[in-house]
Order: sequence, then structure tokens, then C-alpha cells
Amino acid sequence: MTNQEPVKIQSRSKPAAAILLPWLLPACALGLWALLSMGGLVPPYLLPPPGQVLDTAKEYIFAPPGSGPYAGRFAGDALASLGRVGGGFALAVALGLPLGLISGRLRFMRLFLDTFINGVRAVPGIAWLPLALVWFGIGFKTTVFLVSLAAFFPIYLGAAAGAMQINPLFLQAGAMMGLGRGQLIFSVLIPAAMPHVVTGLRLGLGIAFAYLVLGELTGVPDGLGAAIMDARMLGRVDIIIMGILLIAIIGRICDLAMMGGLKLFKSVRRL
Amino acid sequence: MGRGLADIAGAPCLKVEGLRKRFRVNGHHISALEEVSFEVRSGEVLGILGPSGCGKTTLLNIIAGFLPHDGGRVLMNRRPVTKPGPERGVVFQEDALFPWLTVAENVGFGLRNGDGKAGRRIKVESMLEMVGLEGYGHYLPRAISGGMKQRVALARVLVLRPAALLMDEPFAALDAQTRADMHQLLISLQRRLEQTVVFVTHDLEEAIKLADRVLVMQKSPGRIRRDFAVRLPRPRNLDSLEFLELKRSMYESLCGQEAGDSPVLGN
Amino acid sequence: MRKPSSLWAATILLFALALIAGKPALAQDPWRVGTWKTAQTIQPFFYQQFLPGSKLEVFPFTNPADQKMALLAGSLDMCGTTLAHAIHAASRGEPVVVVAALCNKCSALVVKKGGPIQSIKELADKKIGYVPGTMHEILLREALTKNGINPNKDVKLIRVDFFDMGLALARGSIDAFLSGEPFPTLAVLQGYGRILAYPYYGGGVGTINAGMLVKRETIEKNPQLVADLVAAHAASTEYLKAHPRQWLQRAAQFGTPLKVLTKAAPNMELAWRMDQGFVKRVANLGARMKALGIISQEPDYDKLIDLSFVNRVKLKD
Repeated sequence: MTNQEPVKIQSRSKPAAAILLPWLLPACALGLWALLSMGGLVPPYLLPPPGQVLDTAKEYIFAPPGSGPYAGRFAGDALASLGRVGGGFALAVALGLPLGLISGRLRFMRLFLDTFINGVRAVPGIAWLPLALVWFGIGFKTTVFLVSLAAFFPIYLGAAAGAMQINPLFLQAGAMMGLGRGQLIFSVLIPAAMPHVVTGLRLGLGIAFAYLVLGELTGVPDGLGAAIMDARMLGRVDIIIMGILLIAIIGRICDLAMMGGLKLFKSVRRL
Repeated sequence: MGRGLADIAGAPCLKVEGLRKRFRVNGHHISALEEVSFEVRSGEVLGILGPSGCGKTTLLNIIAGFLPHDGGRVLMNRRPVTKPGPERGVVFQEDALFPWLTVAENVGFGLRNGDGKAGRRIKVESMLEMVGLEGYGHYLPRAISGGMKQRVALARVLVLRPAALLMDEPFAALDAQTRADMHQLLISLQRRLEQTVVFVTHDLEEAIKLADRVLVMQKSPGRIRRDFAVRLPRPRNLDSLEFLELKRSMYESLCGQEAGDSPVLGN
Repeated sequence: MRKPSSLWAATILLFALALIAGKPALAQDPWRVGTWKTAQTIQPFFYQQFLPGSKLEVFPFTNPADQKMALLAGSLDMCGTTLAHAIHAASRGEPVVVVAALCNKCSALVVKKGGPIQSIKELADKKIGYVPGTMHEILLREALTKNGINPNKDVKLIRVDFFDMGLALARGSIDAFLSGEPFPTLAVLQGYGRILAYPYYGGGVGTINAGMLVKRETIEKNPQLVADLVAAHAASTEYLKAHPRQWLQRAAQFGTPLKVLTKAAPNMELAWRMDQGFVKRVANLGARMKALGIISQEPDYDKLIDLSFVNRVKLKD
């Protein structure tokens, strides 16, 4: 089998617009922010100027721990948060992916699971928090539960949609070429379902980060969401803004990393 | 070294005996196939011709192992057919290539069990050359034309050396010129590999052009109305008198509406 | 070009309407006061009967930071606050002014019932639930420090929301917590908690807890509004102190059973009066907060606390 990558028929060169355009909106937002706060239109305790948020961020990320209430906490908080998001997301994938694929292919499973899963999906995550605290107590388990609960649904639905829309001829062709059941699943079913599965995974990861903040509301000693919630109690809007921006950046990096990993699969890379 | 007119050599490799198939539609049974029996000899090209709804695709799917049957027997090299397998390779009407694999990877897909990497590569490359796709190994299916895709479909099945090649109206979606090219290719491949072929078509000319024998089917219920031997020299001349006569007879058989018409075998 | 110009006009009109609608309400509109839904912060719910001829709306909050934010954003005319939070806000330059007291005492340090801890000293190496940045955190740190325990090193402080502390204690996820009523009494009556201590220290900080907060701008632009609200506040407080049953019955409507509130009542003191002694105690609290590293500089206490309004009420008494 040849190892070379397929020929790309259309080559696309990146014009300047393609590189600059994605940054236009963030730049405008930043400009508006600077205008409102530094121009005195909004008082600093409601909207701290970008410079102050930057200074807070510098202290949060780089200062030696102990030199201030938030100094140097970033590394620990980020690691803790990533651990919780990772744990919750992994759990959601482990449950949602196989269940989704099965439910997409077997009518019996779909009938069996659909009503329950869609019912649970209708309940917003924040409603589960008090119950999770009763069941799991404060700490890691509650956060992981909330994150995995939220991330499960897009992953499950993506896998089910992917499995359902497979051209039935693919499976026939695979069987005809001598593939056994297991080989059919891994060599035909999953690759054919991949585009939908990937969408589900990306949505799931995004939601996982959103629910991270909810999950760190109470009962965990550290984390980016915890830092934001504490800042709310202290009225430190600069920390809240900084926390939001950091979560956005970290979330985006994780999404890119996941896509990079998924691109190891031919079905993701080439379609 | 063409095939002799008088006789198509080879032992029977595919036997269909008294095949019956019923479908359940809205509570009652519809008989799709009733008492279908025929043989295909090794190296023979059999065409199955019929109006839409006559069950020819159902018949092919049963032989391929995609559908179970409700009576009779299907034997491949004396073994009953229960499920799909590479000894009965199928070329579908529509694009069933795996879009995430290159042409070469598609062709080599069935070779995964057995052979080393090098062995596979050699087989794939020689197959690509045989179907006229040399140099296109790195292309993705979406980058090639419909005709080229069907070449890949042929290649991935033929590389497995199937005992029978089953084709379900494989060229129906192609334009006339490409179809003609594909006919050429199929004929040359069949001769080179001495491949047994069973193909379904609704195109009279295609049937006569490609096949050694043509089964004309009727519908409701699906039966074989007549079995035509095509004793014309290859390459087939579409303008010859014999061709036109055969075409006319087949057409009459195809359109014949007499009820209770019992199938007449032979010519 | 008729169509584009009418589109512009519509856009400008819409924009103008949005601006007008977004403006903070004027004083003639219903007066808006924020507070917690607890027995010790209940006075605003009784202001209306002491403000005939004016309309008043009370907005419930679960923490001081949210209501102070609403105050600063212009959505409230007055709100409740803990004095620690007021000091914190003022130290950061936020233009807030304390114009009346709200309540005193109301805190307790709770441990597991039947557990081994008998004194604060025994809290060393234990897990204690807390909410960062609150009055109760400061009281906790004070209580620990005064007993020779370093809050940063010798105990494990765990972030838990006040509502979740009882459950956490019952499950054993934490060994103690310091919070405001009715949670301590609730823990005792539900059978899993025991009150270890009341963290008030005569002399320095005393029993001060919460107060009522307005924007400096409101005092400058509309002092009469502030005076009226403070007067209503004082009247409500005196009324509720004189009618404890009515006080607790109204508080029970927030959801805590009357039995719990009755038992907690001795630890809850409604207040409105402030004097120089009060200011001194707030200053002592601020000094402690600076020493604990919670604020970087102390505010001007005479600017933070405005005694003029409560003094005027006193004269009417």
C-alpha cells in the first residue's frame, strides 16, 4: 500500500484577507472595550480597562505564588481545570460514542434509548448541580459528572447521526470484500460516520468547557471557573474578564489539539 | 485466442435451483421471484434482462448473499450461498467507493487479510494498470470521474479473483461514450482473466454486446421467460443482421404480455 | 433615494429608544432596594409601610457582591452589604457609602455533632469550608489566628458555597464551617451539627456584621431619597424588634422553618444605629483585613461611613 498522501486537485493559496479577516472582530471588540473604559464612558469598577486586565493577567500567570491573593495561581488552576474537563470529556466519549453508533445502526437500541436520553437532554445542566452535590458531594466527582453529562449529548447525537446516514452500500461492499463484523465496524462504519462524529466531539468539548465553570462553582479548591466565581464574590471584574479570556484561549487550543489528533485518521484528514 | 462459437467451456460454477423470494408489503406477501432456475458455467458471461420490478436486482442480491431467500437453492462451486463474500464480488450501480480512501487504498481494501505489504502493493498496481488507472493511485474518489470510479469498483473486486463477478446495472449512470469505453474494458478484462460474470441490465444492446447468454425475465411474479444464447462472433458488430435479429427477438420476449406464458429454455 | 434614507431614520430612532430605555431610572420611579432573603436582613421588605406615597421594590440576592454590582450599575438605589465587603469595595476606590447598620452577630462556627473537636485549637489539620472574600472568612481567619492556628498552613480551607456547607459537613467532606444564620442552627436542628463557638471579640471588632449601602452619587444628587430610605429602615428595624413573632413569621416565608428561626433568634440582632464606636470597630476590622492581606490599603473610614442620616433619625426619635 502506498504511504503518500492523496493528490490535492485544487491548490489554495492564502490571500492576505484570509489571514487578517478572522482577527477583525476581536480587534474591533478590543477597540470598543478600550474606548469605553479609557474614555471614561464606563467607570473602572464596572469595566476595567484592558491595561488593568493585562496587569492582573500578568500577576495571575507569572508572579511567584504567595505575593498576592491571585499571584501565580494560573498554572495550578489551569492544570486542575484541564484535569476536570479532560476527565468529564473522556467519560462522555467513552459512553456517548459507542452508544451513539449502536443507536444509529440498530433500531431496537434507538427505540430503547431515545426517549430517555432526549428527556435527560432537555434538563439544563445547572439544574443537575444541586442533585450532583447530594449524590457525589463536593469535589472532583461532581464537576466531572456535570461536565460529562453536558458533553455526552452532542457526542451521542453526532455518532448516531453519523452511523445512521452511512450509505448502506458501504457496509454491503465491505462484507462482499470479505470483512468480518468487527472489521466492518472499525474499517467501514466508523470512518464513514467520522464527519458527524467529529462535529459531535467538537461541540462536546466546547460544552465541556462551558460546564466546567458551573462545575467549579462550589466545592473545589482551585480551577479557572473557581477563580471566576471567587472574583464575582470579591467584585473583581478584572479577574472575571481575565478568566473568561483565558478559558476562551485554552478552550480554543484544546479544540485545535483535538482536531490535530483526529486528523491522524484518514477519514478526518481527507474528507 | 477468442472463445469458440460452438461451446463455452467450463464446469457450472453457479447454480440457482427453484429460487423463491417473497416480500411482506403492508401485511400481505408479494412474490418477487418464483421458480427461478439456471446455471452459469465458469468463464461464462450471463446477462439478466428484464423490465423494472421483475426482480432481477433481487435475484442478484440473493446470489451476492445480501438477501435471504424463501425456497430453492443457490450454490456457488457446489457450496450453498448464505452470506456475502469475496468469491462473489459485486460492482454496484452507484458509487460505493470509500470516500476517505485513495484509489489505491480502495483497490487494496479487500486484500488486507493475507499477503505482505509489498505483495499487496504489487497486486494493486498491476490491477490499476489493467483497468487503465495507472498513475491515479493517489487520487481520492471525489477527484475522479464517474467512469473512473466504476473502474476502481471493478478493480477492487477483481483483485480478489472472485469466482463470479456480479454487476447490478453498473454502467447505467454513465454517458454513452464512457459506457462504450467501459464495455470495452469489461470485455477485455473478462477474456484476459477468464472471469465468470453475471450482470443485470435493462439495456438490450448492452446485454447482447457483452453476454454469452441472456436470461429475459418477466415480472409479477419474477420468472425467467426465455434463455437466449448469444452466438455472435466477438467483437460484436451492432449493425450486423444477426445482432438486429437477436435484438428484435429479445425485445418481443421482453414485451410479451401473454399470461401463463411458460418459460422456454434454449434458443 | 427614498428607501435607504427611511431605513436610516428607523435605525437612528431605534438606537435612540434603546439609549433612553437603557438609562438608569429616575428617583420618581419605584425605589429599588436589594437585600438577602434571610431573617437578619429582612428590613427592606417592611419599608413600604413606612414610605406612604412612594413605591418601593425589593430585589433578593444571595451574596453582597452581586447587589453591590447592581448598585454601581444603577439598577438599585440602596442595597445590603457586609461591612467586610464595604471595606473591600472602598479600598478599591469604589464610590460606595454605608448609611445605616443592618444587623449584628449572626455568625457561628459549626462542627460535626458527636465529633471529636471540642475547641478551636483542635481544628488544626482539619478541613474547613469557607467562601472566599466574605465577612465569615475574615471571622474564621481571626478565630483561627487568635488560637494559634495559621489559616494558610495549619488547616485545609475548602471552597464551598454557604448553601452546600451543611451537606458537606453531614457527609464528612468538611470538618467545620463558619457561616451566617440560619445555617448553623439548621445544622444543629437537623442533627448533624454542633456550634463550637460564636466568633465575636469584645473590644476590637465586636459584633458588627452588615449595613446598608448607597452610591456616593445618590447622596450628592438626591440626599432626600437617602434620608427617606434610612428613616424607613430605622422604623422597620424598631418595629420588627418590638414584634418578634411577626418578624420570624415573615422570615419563615423565605423557606426556613419557624422552629429553626426561633432557635437562631438570640444570635440575630437587627440594627440600624451607627455611632463613632461603630466607625471605630469598622476601622479595626479594616486593619485586620489589611493584616491578613485581604486588602492592600485601608479606605478612609469617615468617607465610607456617613453618620448624618442615622443621626437625623435619632433626632426624630
